[in-house]
Amino acid sequence: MTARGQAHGDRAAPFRAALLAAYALISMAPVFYMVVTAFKLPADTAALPPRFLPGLSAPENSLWFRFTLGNFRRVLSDLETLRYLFNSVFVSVISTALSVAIGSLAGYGFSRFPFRGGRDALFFVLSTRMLPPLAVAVPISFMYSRLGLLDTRFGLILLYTCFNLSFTTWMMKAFIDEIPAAYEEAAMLDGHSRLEALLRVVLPQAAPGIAATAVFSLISAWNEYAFALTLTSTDAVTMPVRIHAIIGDNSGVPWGPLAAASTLFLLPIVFFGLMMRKHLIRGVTFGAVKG
Amino acid sequence: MNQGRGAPARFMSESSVRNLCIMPALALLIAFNVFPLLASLGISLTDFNPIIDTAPRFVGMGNYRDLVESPRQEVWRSFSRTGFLVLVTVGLETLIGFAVALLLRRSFRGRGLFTAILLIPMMLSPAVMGSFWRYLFNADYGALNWFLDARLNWDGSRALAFWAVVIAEVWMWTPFMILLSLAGLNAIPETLYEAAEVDRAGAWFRFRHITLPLAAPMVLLGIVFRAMDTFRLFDTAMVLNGNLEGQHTTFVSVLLHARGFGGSRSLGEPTALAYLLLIASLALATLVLRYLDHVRGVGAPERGRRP
Repeated sequence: MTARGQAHGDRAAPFRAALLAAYALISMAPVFYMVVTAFKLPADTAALPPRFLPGLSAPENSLWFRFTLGNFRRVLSDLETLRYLFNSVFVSVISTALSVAIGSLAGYGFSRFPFRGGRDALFFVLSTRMLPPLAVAVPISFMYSRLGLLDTRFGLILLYTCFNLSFTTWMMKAFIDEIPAAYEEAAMLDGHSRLEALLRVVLPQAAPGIAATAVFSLISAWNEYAFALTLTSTDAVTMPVRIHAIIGDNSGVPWGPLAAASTLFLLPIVFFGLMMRKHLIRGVTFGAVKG
Repeated sequence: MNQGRGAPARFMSESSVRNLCIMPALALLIAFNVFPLLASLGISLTDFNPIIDTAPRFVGMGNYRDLVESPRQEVWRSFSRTGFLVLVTVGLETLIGFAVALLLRRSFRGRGLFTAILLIPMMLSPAVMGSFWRYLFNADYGALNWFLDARLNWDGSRALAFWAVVIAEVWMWTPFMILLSLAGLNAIPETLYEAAEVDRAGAWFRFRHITLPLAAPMVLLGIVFRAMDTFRLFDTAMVLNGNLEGQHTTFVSVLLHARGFGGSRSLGEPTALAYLLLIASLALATLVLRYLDHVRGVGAPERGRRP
């Protein structure tokens, strides 16, 4: 990296690497153990010492467990779980698309047309992000029951769109702020309409920002729990609610199938997050700094 | 300010384009935030009960008085419990996160991917991971007790249940502090260290007088964000220990869930409690926003202005 890095790096490098490896190991252990548990038979899930080596048999007091695909087979043949998985995908993807689209538009408006009270409006947008979900869940569930939106995917989509909207508006305003307005002005002087300038000039420039915003919105919608718990009961239930409901009263919990369902639910988002890691990292820092 | 100057006449004025852009967002936010909050402010002043079909009676500040003077002071206790949780959790996240960021500072092969892997806990659902933590915390066959070589009872009404929430939260959100600390560290100009090198300043001096003060604004930013999020914590506590009152994990949001969705009670008291939480959160949020303005003013005076 730099002269400083080389001058002091060498002596301490193995020490630093060991510490980092230890942190990574501890941090990944619960996830690893969850994936491993998804392949266990019931007997092996309750065995001590905890078994995490997949094998063909499971000797007493060893770290080996008998590898089985039964949990996945059980989860994937359970129509209810599949429907809830579909709910999660459907609700989070659609609400992310909507909140990124509406938020980009609003971000563009705030960025390009400063107006009196604009700062206050932006402050209002940001402050909605800081509301505790449970503080609005009570009135919203009452409102939803009157509107017939309780336990509907549409109701959840509306709500998720809305709770991500403050974030997407702020992020997109900050990203669009960094695109010189001169570009689209030039396009408009060339006779293009504002819409054309927006689609052909601003949108391509804003693409990385849109990606960062979308990754973040998708992750929060995918993982949302408080609203899903309070506003759904049978039809529109999403996976986080479903998975916790499996546990029930803690006696005789089917940990294997639970881990399999969790793994199926978590893997896509981890895969997606790692694919988009540049945008994700940028989004976290940018989002924190810009609101 | 001057864009559009010299542009040919269009069929829409600047202000109507602007309204077209921002109105959908504002309308949604008002419908889902302002409107329910106004409705619940009204409800919190009554003994409204949606199950019983009688006209709600106006009780003024009665619900708020009941909450503040509630016999076992469950409300105050849930607030102080939440405050303590914020202190412990965010403190640990900051210490570990900053330390890991210091370790990650020097470049090495595959650092990008390694950092991204460290972020995985942050991408996961707190409710789903919390459910699995219950397996790890299980008193009889949990991996954690085996690892600690102890027979600790993490669930139920034990004080340890509080620490179970701390562990799960710190595990999940330390990556956030790593990222923000890294951003702070990366923004420190290398020339400062070179100057210190010339002056033969020691490692501790460099850390104390360059690294720490210059990375501090970003780290503090992370702290306020985490504090705000932890203050309204619900998912992890709910899946780990349910929504019973009087437990060591009955944080404000959990108490709110217990009372607001717990059957046939009047909605007046829970909405009043929601308002107490709201006021506390908004006070915190105002601090955050003030601080954000401060950081932007110091670090990047041009930010937020059109070029």
